[in-house]
Amino acid sequence: MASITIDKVRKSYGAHEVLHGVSIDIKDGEFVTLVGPSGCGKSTLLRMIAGLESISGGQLLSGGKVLNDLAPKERDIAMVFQNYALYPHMTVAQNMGFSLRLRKAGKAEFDEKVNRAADILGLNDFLERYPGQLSGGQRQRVAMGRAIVRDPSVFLFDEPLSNLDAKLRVQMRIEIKALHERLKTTTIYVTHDQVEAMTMADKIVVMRDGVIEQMGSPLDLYDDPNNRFVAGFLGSPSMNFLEARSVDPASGRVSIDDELSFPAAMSRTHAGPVTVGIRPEQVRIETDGLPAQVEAVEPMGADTHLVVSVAGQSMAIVLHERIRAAIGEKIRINLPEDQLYFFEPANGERIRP
Amino acid sequence: MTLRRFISWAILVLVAIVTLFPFYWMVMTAIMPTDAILSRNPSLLPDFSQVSFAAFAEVFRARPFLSWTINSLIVSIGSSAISLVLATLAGYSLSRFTSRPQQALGASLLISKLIPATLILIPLFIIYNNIGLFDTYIGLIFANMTVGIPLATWLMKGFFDRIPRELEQAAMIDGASQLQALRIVILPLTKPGLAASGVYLILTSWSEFIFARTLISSPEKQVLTVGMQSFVGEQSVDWQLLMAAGTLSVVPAIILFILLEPFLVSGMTKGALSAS
Repeated sequence: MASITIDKVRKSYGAHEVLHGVSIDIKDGEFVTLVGPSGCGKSTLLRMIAGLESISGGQLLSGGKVLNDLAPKERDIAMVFQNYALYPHMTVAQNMGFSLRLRKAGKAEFDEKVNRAADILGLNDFLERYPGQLSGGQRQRVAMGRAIVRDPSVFLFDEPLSNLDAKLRVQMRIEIKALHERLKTTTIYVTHDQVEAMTMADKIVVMRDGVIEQMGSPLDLYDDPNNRFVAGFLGSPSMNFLEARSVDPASGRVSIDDELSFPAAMSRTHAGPVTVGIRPEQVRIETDGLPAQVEAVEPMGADTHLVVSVAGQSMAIVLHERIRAAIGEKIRINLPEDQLYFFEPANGERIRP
Repeated sequence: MTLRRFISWAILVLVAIVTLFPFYWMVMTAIMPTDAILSRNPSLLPDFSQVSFAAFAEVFRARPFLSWTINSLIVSIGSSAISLVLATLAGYSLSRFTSRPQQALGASLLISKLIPATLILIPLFIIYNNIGLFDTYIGLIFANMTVGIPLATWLMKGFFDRIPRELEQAAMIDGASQLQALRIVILPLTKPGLAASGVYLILTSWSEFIFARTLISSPEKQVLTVGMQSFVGEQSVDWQLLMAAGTLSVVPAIILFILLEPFLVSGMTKGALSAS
């Protein structure tokens, strides 16, 4: 068990810097997800924590000990790779117990630890099989078993579920979360899937282009994003953004264009255009309000998703009741004042009212 | 049988005949009386009333054939064993470390392949004379290594390239050193590559002639290829003994192939990755 401190860590390849001073505090036993689009540096950061990439600047500490120049095997970590990286010439048991073999553990310890991990993951019937004889989900479990047997102070996961089909992904997501509840080992989990990030993490770190955009608990980030990127990244369907021409604090209205405007709780004067954000589930369909035209209807069973056009801009709406709407139908929508977010159109920074 | 299949079979048979006929004729020359072979109209099929295997026994009586074979084995196994170790390490590092100087070094290995062996023969001869490697097995072993290592290195690099890096990274996180990861995780997966490179290296130095002819002078240290040349006299050639010796010299190579064939079959990395 250990806390991890990432202090102004940088990574550059030659003159090209890909991580621009990243700082994260990870508490002992915490489950942290690093999330962001591909190329944001999340995997690079994870590999630096693992010791597979060198650290160009800053400090990496575990329980107060500097890890920067330690070899991977000295860092007391275990990692689950995206492609699992199972040793094809070894059986499941040999794969899981490889770390024990390297430190010359006795047969009793080997059997005990491998069997315990196999119990946790339901792999008892497969111990003598080779990775080539397993399904994708089973291979994934073996990779996790290898990490469990290692009994590290930190688990690292590098997009472990991205090679599984959707149904299995949901199941493994729950299993990994349950595993963390059981072992309470500090976990750093990289994903580009915001659903994984939201559902599993104690703390989400949203990254883009080598910097941290925002970090915090999943619902904090969801409810109180610092900028348009974070607001748009978390949530599915993602937050709607309407480009508005101006805000008038005197009348308390936001004008999309000459004709359309709606009330907004924004007391501060803001010169010029503004981007207004609202979550799809907060938009109301009412008899009075902004005119909109239905562009698509997606009945999901539990919910109904609509895509509508407002003043030429597209908006998603999630309704929990079933409605019948035809494509092309004209409806009116209401944007509740207390559910609006405002962003600078130029840099996407949040404007807090 | 479709026309396509017929044509591909015909081509295969033709290639097999072209490749195997010299070998067949070598055996024929060894077991048939020389005048029958050298006659104006030699028979393509053996006349069983004239077949004799006496030449094979005669090879051992007339010349130190056994000692030549042993010398060839020492030199071939010695040079290919050292070459295989070096080529494996070099190929691994070329595959995994891709800095520009390293890649340039790798390319220079291939370029050295363009230099004919005869061109480095004279410098080698002079150097060997000065440092006392002339007329030694180890000298000949080193000379053979210069021929085999470049290509073997690139062969091995190709095999390492196909093994995902995550495997040794996983091993290193599990507690292995880089060398342990190579030995325990990566090498077992490159058995086909090791076998292919090994066969190439052994055959190269088994059939090598020019270095052995020049860098070894003592008759008792002579290898097969050079020894067999003694059947070619100033006035005449003892075709029957030469071909019998030639036939015998192929036997170790055939045994080697039979032994290594199972390893040459690829497919060991199946299941390493999620996608495979």
